[in-house]
Amino acid sequence: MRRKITAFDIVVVIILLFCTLTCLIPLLNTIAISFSDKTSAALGQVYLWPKNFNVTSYREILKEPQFFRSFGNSVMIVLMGGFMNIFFSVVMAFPLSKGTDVFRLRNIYVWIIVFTMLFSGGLIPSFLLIKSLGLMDTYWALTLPSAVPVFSVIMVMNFYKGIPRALEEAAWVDGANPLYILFRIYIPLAMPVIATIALFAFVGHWNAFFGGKIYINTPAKVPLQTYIQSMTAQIDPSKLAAMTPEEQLRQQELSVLTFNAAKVIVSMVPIMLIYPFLQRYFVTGIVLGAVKE
Amino acid sequence: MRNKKNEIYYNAMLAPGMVLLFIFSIVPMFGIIIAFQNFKPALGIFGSSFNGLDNFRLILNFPDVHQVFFNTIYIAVLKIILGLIVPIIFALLLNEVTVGWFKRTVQTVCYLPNFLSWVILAVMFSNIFSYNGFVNEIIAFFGGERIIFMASNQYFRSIIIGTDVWKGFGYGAIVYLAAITNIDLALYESADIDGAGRFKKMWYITMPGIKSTIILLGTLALGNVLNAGFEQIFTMYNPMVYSSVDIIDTYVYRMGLEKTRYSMATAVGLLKSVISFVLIVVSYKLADKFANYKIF
Amino acid sequence: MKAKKILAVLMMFLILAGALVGCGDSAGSQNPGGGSQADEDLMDPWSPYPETVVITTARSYDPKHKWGPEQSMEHNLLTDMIKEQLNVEYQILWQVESTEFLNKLSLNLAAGDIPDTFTIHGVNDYLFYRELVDNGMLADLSEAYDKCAGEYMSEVFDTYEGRNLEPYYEGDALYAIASGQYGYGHSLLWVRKDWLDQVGLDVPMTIEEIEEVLRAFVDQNVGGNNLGFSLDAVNPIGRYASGFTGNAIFYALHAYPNQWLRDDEGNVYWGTIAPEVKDGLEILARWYQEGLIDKQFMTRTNSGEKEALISSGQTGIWFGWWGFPWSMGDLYKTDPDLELVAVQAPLDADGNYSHLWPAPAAQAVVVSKDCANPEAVIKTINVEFNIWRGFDAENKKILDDFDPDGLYDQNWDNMFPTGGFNLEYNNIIPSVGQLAKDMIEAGTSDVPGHPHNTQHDRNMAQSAMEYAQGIKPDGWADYYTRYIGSNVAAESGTIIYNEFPFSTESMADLKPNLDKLTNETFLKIIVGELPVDYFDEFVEQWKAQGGDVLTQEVQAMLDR
Repeated sequence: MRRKITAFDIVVVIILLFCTLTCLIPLLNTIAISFSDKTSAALGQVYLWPKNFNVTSYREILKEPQFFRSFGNSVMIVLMGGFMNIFFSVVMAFPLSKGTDVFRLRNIYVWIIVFTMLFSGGLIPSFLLIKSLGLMDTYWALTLPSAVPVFSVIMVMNFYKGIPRALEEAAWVDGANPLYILFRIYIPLAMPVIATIALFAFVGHWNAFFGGKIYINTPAKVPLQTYIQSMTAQIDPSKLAAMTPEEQLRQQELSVLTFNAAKVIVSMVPIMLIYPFLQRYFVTGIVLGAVKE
Repeated sequence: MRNKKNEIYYNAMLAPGMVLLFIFSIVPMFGIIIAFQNFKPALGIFGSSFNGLDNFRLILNFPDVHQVFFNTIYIAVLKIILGLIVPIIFALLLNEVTVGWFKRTVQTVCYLPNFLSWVILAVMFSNIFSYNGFVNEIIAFFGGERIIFMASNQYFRSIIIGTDVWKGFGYGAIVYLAAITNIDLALYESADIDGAGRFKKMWYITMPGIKSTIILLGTLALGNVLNAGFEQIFTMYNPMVYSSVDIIDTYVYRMGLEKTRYSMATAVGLLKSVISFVLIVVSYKLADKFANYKIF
Repeated sequence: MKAKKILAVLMMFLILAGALVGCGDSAGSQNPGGGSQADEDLMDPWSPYPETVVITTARSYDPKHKWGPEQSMEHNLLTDMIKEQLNVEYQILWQVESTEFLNKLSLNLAAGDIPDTFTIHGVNDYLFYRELVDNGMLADLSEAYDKCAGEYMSEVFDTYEGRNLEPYYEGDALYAIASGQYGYGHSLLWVRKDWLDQVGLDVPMTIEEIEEVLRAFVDQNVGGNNLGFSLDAVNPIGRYASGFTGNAIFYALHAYPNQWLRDDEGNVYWGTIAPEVKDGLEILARWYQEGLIDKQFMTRTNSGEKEALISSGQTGIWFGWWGFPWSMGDLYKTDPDLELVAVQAPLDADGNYSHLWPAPAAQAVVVSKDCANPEAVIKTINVEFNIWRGFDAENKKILDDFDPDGLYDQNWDNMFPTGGFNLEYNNIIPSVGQLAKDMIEAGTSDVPGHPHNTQHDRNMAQSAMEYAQGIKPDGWADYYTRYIGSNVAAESGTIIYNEFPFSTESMADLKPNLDKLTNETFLKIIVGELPVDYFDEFVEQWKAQGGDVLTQEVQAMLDR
């Protein structure tokens, strides 16, 4: 039975189309700029279609070995940090999902963990710590401090809570220990949630830029987003005014709209590639981890 | 059934992570001491003298600090409110769509912004909101006067809030969509029999059905109020708009480093953590009371 | 029992925590040779060290710099030559892009750990420098400077009459070696000759004449899409070296905004609140209203946007420094035969031209107290410039020959261990300008030139000459900068010095708001949103919102 199309339907479609467009337009605009010429872009004449189409910006990227180095650095960091995140989430959530009748100290642990999520020493003490641990200029500085992703832990914990007690009890009867139960029973069941937190972890590490700014000393080791940010950052105009003309000239050369746009597009590529595949999984995963019956 | 042996396992599973948390999250907290000192780099933490609450008194008298706290709360609260409303509306609307391919396309496109970094988005938005950029073109098309968004204290705050909502609405809608599917279909059927139209069904059935989810997410967000979005604002702002979008974290970054006001910056950060803590406790109690949900 | 256990655990945590956070050794400098500073034989400008001295440093880097093969900031031809001649090696502890350099330095300072040496901006970073001095972190360089400054450095500093080092003395101790900021970078008036010819007017020299030219350009729509005159969006009235601002117009009216000046009684005042500024604003407002100024100027905030206006032929008259043509590469590409005219204009009612002068110091090199061999840094500077200016002809040739096709960047500030610290005669611009002029007039590069001229200077002058002769079209930029621009900037004019280029205690807090108030108010006046008479109210606001406080502080600093 085909339902009649009502005014309501039309309104819904229009609004949704609007939402979709707002998500697409910035992307198209940036792509267009990256394929345009420098002057038109600076004059703000590029909208959704390139003006004076050329691939100079992309060719310039090829001439910048640091871009690829940073790209590779980020891949390393994502793998390191991502797996650490997954590991800790999956393992730590297990005991936390038990009630205090089974695990006495459970609530204490939970409050400590939540506490760390809220309170932080701040930039300077963190910096002092990393320095005194000798971790400056290493990827450990970028992955260890965030190794325990509290939000993901809570998500997995909620999921574990939903797994029927009966499964666990049956395993106990068979003489299994908690490790066995975790790895052989819980984790296989939790795959959708794990896919979700994996996505969070990978994307989170890929997009992070601030840590690289603070803790990495050697330009060659800088992660991709930090690298891009250093190229696109705008200089404080009052500082600019106090510089010599030569220095001002140098600053201007650093920041070319079309190059920046190209870099941005290229750095999005990994996400665009992985995203369609994982979309299926993370929808289920979020549901399972967040929605309570 | 408590089993001592199991408990050992449980503790062992938590141990490595807790150690890391201790080292990297808790130890730096002791650096808070700087907030109570007259910190001199040459003397370090152990050598600098204490000056009690002087730094805090200084903060309260600083005109900028009032503005900064105001900005932080204003921006964060609006982000939370809109960050609740927009995904809900989006989810409700999306739920009404029956054409499969349309629904999927919209979803795919709208989930994407969530995965892009602010570094990237800052570049994109500075182009979109520039004087000759897309938004102004549309405004001009309809006969309005162009606006210098990026330098305007009037509009920039809205841009910060708006772009953040933009980034998260698609993704945030997922939970609501799932909650909607949980609503008993029988309710809809009886509404049909009563002659209710689409809108009425949405308002009287769907909305209440996801009420608990809304409350849950809302109270969770409350505790996060003072994190108004450092990375976003840091990559997007410029000195012209400091007075409207400077939040605690960006202010601390500039004060603490460029101006080497280490003690003051740490004191401001401490204030922030204390207020956040109080808010989280409040939201935990609220969630417990209204949604009967122990968040953790 | 349980409470006690928890307490014990907490105590353990506390102790461990304290230990971890508090302990951070200073990296200091590692001198395996332990070169003794007291060794008198080494306190001269050139002698090498018997054992390798390693000096730690931190650098700001240029992400776009294209290094040649086997070249890097740590290791390049220049650092090799320094090692060879002095037996000094530089170890770079960290690098970060220049906008973040101070922040990173500050973080390291909080950890009590600064490198042996680093280069900061003498004026912009002055407060930071003060923080270093107040914390006793810097070494006294007076003895090292006396004994180890090379001839070139001494000569260069002489041309500044000691003004560059003055702010860095505390009594007899010298805590930074600051390079002087050479002048002549003020804004000249540039006009396209072809457009002038098209409207049949002469080069404008007064405000009225400029207005006439502008009106002709706009009315006759020269260029096809003439926007008039473009002003800077953020700071329309300008400072010393800002292009696209209206500052020269103000100078012709004897108004000098954004400077601290002294009045006849010796009291200091901020130039922006002087009544003459109002006259300048009136002119700009009128021009805007009559369409002689780009209607959209306040929105052109994109980097390179105003230059793009010139390249695309939408404006043909602007203010810029002598080196402005270097950013005009695109214009030259589209129109290689283009001729530009530069003049010091507008003149005041008496036919005189006055302009600003930069702050006395530019980059400053500081050395940490923990460095065992501070004089090594000064010696390094000697060697750097000995080579770069061509006095050490042999090594200079090696540098020049390295990249015959110009594939790589040879920016000296990336190669030098001391970064952007530049030694330059105060009169470098006029002297190179004169050299270029001599060559062009003589038709050969074989002219005596000024004793200060180096091979580097000669190369550029020659390039300008070859362009004039038509044999080197690429020399366009050199021709217009070194020959046209430099010589115009060197013409005589009244110099107005900035009485106080530095910062006072409250400046960091109050000045940004005052500047913002100024820029916003002036923008509004220019575009007509506020009447010109509002200026009087602005002055009252400026004073009340901190201007008076700052004036008092500056006065106090000057009277010290």
